[in-house]
Amino acid sequence: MISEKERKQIETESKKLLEKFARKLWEIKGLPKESMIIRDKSMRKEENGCSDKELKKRMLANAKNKNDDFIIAKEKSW
Amino acid sequence: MVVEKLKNYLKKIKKEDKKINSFLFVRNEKELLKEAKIIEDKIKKRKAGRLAGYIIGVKANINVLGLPISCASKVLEDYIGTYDATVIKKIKEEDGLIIGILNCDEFACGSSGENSAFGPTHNPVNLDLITGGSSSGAAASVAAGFCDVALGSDTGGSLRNPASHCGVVGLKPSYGTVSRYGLIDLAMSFDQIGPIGKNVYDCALILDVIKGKDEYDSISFQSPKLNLKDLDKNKKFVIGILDLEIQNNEIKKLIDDRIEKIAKKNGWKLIKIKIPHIDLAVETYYPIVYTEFFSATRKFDGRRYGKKIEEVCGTEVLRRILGGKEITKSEHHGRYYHLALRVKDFLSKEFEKVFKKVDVIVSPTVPQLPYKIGEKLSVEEIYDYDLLTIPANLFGGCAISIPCGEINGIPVGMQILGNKLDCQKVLNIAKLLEKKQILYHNNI
Repeated sequence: MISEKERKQIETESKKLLEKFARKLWEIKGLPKESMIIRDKSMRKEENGCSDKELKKRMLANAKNKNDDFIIAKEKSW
Repeated sequence: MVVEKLKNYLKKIKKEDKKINSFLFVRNEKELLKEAKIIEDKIKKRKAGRLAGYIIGVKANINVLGLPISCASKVLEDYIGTYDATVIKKIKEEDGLIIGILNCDEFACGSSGENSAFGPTHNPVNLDLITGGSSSGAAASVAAGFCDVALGSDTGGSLRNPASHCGVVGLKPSYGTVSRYGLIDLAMSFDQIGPIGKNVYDCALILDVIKGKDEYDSISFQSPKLNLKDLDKNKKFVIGILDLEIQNNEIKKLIDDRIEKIAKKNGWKLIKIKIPHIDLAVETYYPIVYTEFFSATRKFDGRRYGKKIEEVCGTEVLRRILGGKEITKSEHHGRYYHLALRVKDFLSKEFEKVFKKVDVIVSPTVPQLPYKIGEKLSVEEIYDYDLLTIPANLFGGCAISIPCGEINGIPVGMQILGNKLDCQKVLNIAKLLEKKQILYHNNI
């Protein structure tokens, strides 16, 4: 269990690290202005989506209470 | 044959895994023996699948129906897989026998194998050392002789890094080659499932079985067919040697000497290559991982699955969540995540240029030798272990780590990195570079 003090410390360290990383990346010259998705030959064609009728049932299998589409739960009673 | 092999593995696990801690769960012996008998009968009747006789461990972040898929975390300690990941379904269809669930860094966050909520995995080569990670149990179980192959995942080197430290083979397929359906994600734009095995052939065979387009994973596609029969066929390859300073010169020398020797023997051309800003791979990778991991973990809110992640997770998982939370704040728009994506694109284009000149790029897999379990390293020092494996994930290429030799009895891996869709070429060159296998599990 991580204490609140340790949590704060991790948060501060993590922010510092990200700042340090960003500073180094900003120094790179010739970066593209935008990042983009390269759609090459490895991209799939859009099709009709998933045909498995059992998928929803499996996704909800661990829920205690559910209906056909959703997990049913009462607020603050988890 | 299969029954006998299974019995030996189970006996070995029972006797030796207390020291290694590679398995989080081993399936019921009776059930396993029953399945092994069925497979054996199929083999006798010549009706068995391509993986008949293979006994396989699975990393704890890949769903297997009915088995505890905890991601080595207290968060999902009681979670039981409700379905088979696509890779598992394919393995079962080809008569591979799944023996159990393997330890790893919590939610695959780590490169040492120390971050599991259920204790670190110990390196079978030297029990005091880390295995590397995050697929620590996968590499250790294969190296220790507890199974034939193991399935793991690779987001920034999680298959190749532990394979290198444990003296086995680890293969990260090109992004999209293998379906991620059923993989509990770390960073969805980098994650790939792949094998760790005792040799290149076993890894190639597993890849051939698990690859392919899957309607449950929109980024998956049908990659070029693998030809396993011609894996050791020599061609006039052009090999790029990555020109980059690393901390341990002995490792670099070992790799360079080996590639020079084999290149001379096989008539390959060697070219030294430089990739601008590849030394900033770590700085590019982690902001993206933090952001995607933060997003991926929002489902672990204590309602749908297990416990609330921030309340029970370990330090590294929390660091990534808090970092990701910080990045996604609107006031940081473009400062971290978007910038990292731009560098990722920049590096991808640099790799494209290089792959017009060379077939593969060879380098050490990990720039340093494994350290002692419990040794205090800074976060940045730990992240630096991923320096040479991350680029393959950034541009989506195929990469393999094969054992290349030893330094003071510790295995060192060589990484062979290929372009997107070039798995056949990578496996081909790896097979030609492969050394006779060293059986480290005899040391235990």
